[in-house]
Amino acid sequence: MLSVFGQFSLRFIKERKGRAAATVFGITLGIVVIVATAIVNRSTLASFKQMVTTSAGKAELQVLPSVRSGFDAKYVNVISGVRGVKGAYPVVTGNTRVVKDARDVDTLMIYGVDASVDRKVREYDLSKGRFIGGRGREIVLTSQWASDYGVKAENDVTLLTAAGLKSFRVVGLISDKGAGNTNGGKFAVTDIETAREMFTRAGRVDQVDVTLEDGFKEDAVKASLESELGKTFVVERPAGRGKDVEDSMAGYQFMLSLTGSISLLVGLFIIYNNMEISVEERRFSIAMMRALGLRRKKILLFVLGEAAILGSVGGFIGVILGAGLARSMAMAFAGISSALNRVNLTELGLTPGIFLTGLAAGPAAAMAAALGPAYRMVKVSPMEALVPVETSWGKRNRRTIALGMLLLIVGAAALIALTFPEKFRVVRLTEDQFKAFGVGGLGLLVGGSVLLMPGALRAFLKRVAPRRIVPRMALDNLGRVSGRTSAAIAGMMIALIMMVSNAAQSLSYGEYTRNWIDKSVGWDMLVSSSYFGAQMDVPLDEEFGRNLRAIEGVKIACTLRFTRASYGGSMVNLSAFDMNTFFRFAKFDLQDGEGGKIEERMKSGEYVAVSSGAARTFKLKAGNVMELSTPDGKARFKVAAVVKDLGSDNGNVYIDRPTYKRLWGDSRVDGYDVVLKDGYTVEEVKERIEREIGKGRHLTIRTHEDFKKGIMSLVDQSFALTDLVIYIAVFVATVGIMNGALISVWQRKREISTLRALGARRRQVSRILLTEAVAIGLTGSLFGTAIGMFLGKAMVESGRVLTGIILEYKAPWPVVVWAVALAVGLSSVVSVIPGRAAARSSIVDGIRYE
Amino acid sequence: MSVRYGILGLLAREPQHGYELKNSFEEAAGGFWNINYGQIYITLDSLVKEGLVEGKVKAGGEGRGHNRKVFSITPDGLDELKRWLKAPVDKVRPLRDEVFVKLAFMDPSNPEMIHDLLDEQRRLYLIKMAELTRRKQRLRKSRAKDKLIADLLMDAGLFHAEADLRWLEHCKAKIDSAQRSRMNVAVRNDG
Amino acid sequence: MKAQVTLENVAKCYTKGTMEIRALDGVSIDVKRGEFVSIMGASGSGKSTLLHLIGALDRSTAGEIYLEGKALSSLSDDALSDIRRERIGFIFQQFNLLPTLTSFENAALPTLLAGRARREDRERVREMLAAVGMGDRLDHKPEELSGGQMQRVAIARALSMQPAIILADEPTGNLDSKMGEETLAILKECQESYGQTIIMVTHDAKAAAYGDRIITLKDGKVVEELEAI
Repeated sequence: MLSVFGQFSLRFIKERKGRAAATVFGITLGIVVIVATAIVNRSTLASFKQMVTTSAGKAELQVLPSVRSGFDAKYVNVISGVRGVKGAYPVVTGNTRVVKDARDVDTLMIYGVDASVDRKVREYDLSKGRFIGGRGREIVLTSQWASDYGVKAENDVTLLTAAGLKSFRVVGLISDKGAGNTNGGKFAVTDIETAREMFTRAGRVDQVDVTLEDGFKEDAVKASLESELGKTFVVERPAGRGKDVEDSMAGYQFMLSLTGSISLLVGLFIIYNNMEISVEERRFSIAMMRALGLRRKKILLFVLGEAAILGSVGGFIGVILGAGLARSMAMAFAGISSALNRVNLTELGLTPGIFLTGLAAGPAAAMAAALGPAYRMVKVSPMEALVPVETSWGKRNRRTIALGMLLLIVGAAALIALTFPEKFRVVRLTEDQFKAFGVGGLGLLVGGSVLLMPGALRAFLKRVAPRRIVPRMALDNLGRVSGRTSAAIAGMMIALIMMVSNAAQSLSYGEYTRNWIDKSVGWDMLVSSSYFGAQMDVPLDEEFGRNLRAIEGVKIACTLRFTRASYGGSMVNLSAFDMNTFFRFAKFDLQDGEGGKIEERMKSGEYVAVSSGAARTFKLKAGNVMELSTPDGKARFKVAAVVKDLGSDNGNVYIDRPTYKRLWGDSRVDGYDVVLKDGYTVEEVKERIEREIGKGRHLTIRTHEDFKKGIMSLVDQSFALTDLVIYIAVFVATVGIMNGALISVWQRKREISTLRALGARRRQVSRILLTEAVAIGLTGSLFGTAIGMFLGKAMVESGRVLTGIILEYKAPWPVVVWAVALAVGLSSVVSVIPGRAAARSSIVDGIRYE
Repeated sequence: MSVRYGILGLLAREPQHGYELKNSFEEAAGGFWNINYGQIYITLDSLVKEGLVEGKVKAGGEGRGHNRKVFSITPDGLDELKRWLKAPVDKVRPLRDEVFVKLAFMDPSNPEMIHDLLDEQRRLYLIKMAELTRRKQRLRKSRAKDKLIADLLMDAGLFHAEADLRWLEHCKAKIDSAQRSRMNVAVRNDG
Repeated sequence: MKAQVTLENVAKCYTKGTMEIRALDGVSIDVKRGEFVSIMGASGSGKSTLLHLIGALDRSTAGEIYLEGKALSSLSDDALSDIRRERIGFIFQQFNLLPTLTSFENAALPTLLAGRARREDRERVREMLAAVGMGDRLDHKPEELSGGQMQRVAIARALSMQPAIILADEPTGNLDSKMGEETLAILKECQESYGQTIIMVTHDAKAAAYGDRIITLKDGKVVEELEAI
């Protein structure tokens, strides 16, 4: 049997290397993206965990604050007094920038520890020099980092602190054993007091690492600590941390997984197409073998076996390439992830699990895609070997139509419900259910249309029988293989649905963002010492603000502080502005609440304003009462208004600064919103600020324009990855059209030769192929763009339910026109090859009776 | 044998003179059967003796002897004709073919002569067939009655000729291959 | 009178796998206008190849073919297509009707390809179909027709442009003898009433007998030419 298989399959693969390669490519494509996404997804969490566990050392529990400003150092004693606690080791931690030759070169994670006792909980393997002492600005770096940046023991490094750039003496280097492995080596240790100065944590502590007495269980001690310390503290096992990371990465991970799935689908489509051609070409041999007694099951095995072989090759290549791609993807995501979570993606390795999954997925996917063609081949009758029959085209199936209609109606209903969430009471669903509803609805809609398309196509073509011979032949041919035609149309349709709906969202979101910036952001410059969005911990102070206001040209400098606070079991972002100055240049874009009273209410300190995202998540309205957790207990506020804002997550809460300072005991400043006096330009004032007070402080000054551009490009970037996948899908759909055309040229050999023998010119024959391809492209694009606009609207509307942001739907007409033009253009281009093949084929060969 | 019944058949259609019978006969036989007066008169005589045909001298007719008489079929003749018509033929075509006889006596060591004969015979058949086909076409266009029988007769001629042609080609092929194996043996014996 | 079709030392070779096959090996033939020529030969004698070359479906490897004075090798593919459409009517052994077209559309195919669909053209096609006895089956598709009916549609198709030359490849091959006879009678009619030239390839002697001239091919060469008149 193996020899027959060899004849049938292996020799065919050798002969049609191109086709086999294309099939392998399809599999590789899918596997690559899946593997890369799996690696990146996994490694984000893994890197974070690794960072935590290596830095935690021997600590079994960690006590963390629920606010960004840490907690009072007196609690360290409280902790050490709890039953079962052996040692309590305080840590002040933060990220800062290293500056070399007036340029900043890298970010370091700093641990400020009690030098006298810390070695009991963490392992520091000194390769050079000594550990830090208890005084001065001494620092220990990892030897890896030091050699990367050419720093040696006894050298000095310059770091950014709250008091500006300061010089630190490198007293020792540690190897990557133990704590030195933290954060991929971008880690440094200094004395806790020094760290307090750096990050303005006077009298405070960022975390306490706890070791336990022998015989005490973690759970028990955890419970004791929690009851002793109260709700404002979080007690966790080091390895159990990471939920935060997971939550914030959830959105991106969903996107990545979606991208991966789409790629796999695209790959499957390529495989399906190619297997179809290669199996059709051997139709005669199969009929022959059947006539000679080969069983149906064996044919199935042959075809699937062939697919499995190609799939394994593709899977192997895909896994290797995927690991490589993960690295580049990580580069792209490094910015986002380190900004969000201070996580350096260190673990980009291929785990055995992922490796094996990729290897297995290859043949599995190939065989799944090959099922269709295999099934068709099994039905080939031995008679075909004897009688040269024109391949009989499939007949309509009642069941398929009924199923198709069912899927279509249910899918469309689901999407319509999402488009008008209030009307259909879809508002009550949770976020995950919503997503499932949407994806499910779309899937059903597409599935239903694919099933119905062949029948609808045939009915349509019956009615439309063109007079002229070229379009007549083209449409007849499409109708005869209505299944394959429908698949090609569906491919293009799906690609364009994605394109248009993505464009609609991008446009709507972009419009919203631009409006928000124009309306709400009234400052001319933003002065800070950190990088916007990077959440560094080296803030400015109020002293700086006084100096800033003295600069010529500066009219207003409003303090701002971004932090987090605990509310109702979750964390919300807290934005503290000096409300006395805030309203002189900014406006709240109101969604709910009395506009007239908002200023005085916010100034009073008894009110807060919440963003639409927060309002949705926590179901807040103007007039509700919010209870925020402070270090000393709870504080109650009334909601003055719900305002439009950027970003979803858990939303923003706006509060008056003096109130914040008082309740949270935090007087740090993240930056200043600056408004200029009339007649002064941004450039001259910027230059003046840098010159007069910026020295040694490493300031970042962003203009309104920069800010706008920066945000808009972030918005664009977030849609860019999807764009890439979409263009791949369009490419694949186009290839599908070409493949289909090639198959039909081969199958219609006799007909084409007859036409030529009767006097059809070459151009007429290639025009038939062109008409077929364009018909598919046009139909796919018309349906795709129509459904895409519909879907885009649904997604924009449903976005409101999910995030609370009210986006206005902007129909992406330019993209629609572009999409149709692209589809038609690509189809035309791609019909050239089959067209030539048909026009130049030998007339005599086609007529001859084999 | 068939000459008897051919004459009976012709006379059943209409009474004819003796000399007219030759033409009618040849025409009905599609030109593939040449018959002479002698055969006709002998057959006529025996038919008259059997009482199947009768000859009447036509008053004022020309010619002498048989030629003066007009022959017509008797009721007995009609019965006999009907009986013969109904009975199927069970004889295999007799091997009187001249060609075959010639082949039998030709020199096997001179294949060229045989080929020439076969080719010539083939040519003859083809020309004859073309002729017959032309006559069929003319008959189609003509206004004659009873076209079908004549047409079928000509078809018979054509089918037979076709069969003969195929047999000729078959002969050529077999003679050729026999010739080749004889030459191989000779070569082997020489070498 | 100058010949309508002339073949001068025409040869055709092609490779099948690793073998080189000489389908025609130096064939020279003249066909006059209005002649009915039958070409006979065993299978592999090259007779179908000969017809394909005359019909401009393929190009000769050596030698020249003249059609109404024009040398085929000098013509572009478009010019050849035009000749196939307007000057030649080809009747295939297996009819080669297009399965999605009705009888009428199949018969009208050459006119459709020429972009001519005027009323006169449509009328003529209907006449041809009626002449072959298919006048009442204009809307039938090939799958609804018998072999004989399909052959008649194919003949009507070949005649629809009133070509100067009709090429028939084993026209009686797939028909019973009565049907075959009718087909040949139609061809003969075309020759006699319309003055069309008929070149027919056949292995059937009874069909060949319809020709004015019978040419026999063997191993790609002419071995006999018979004037049947």
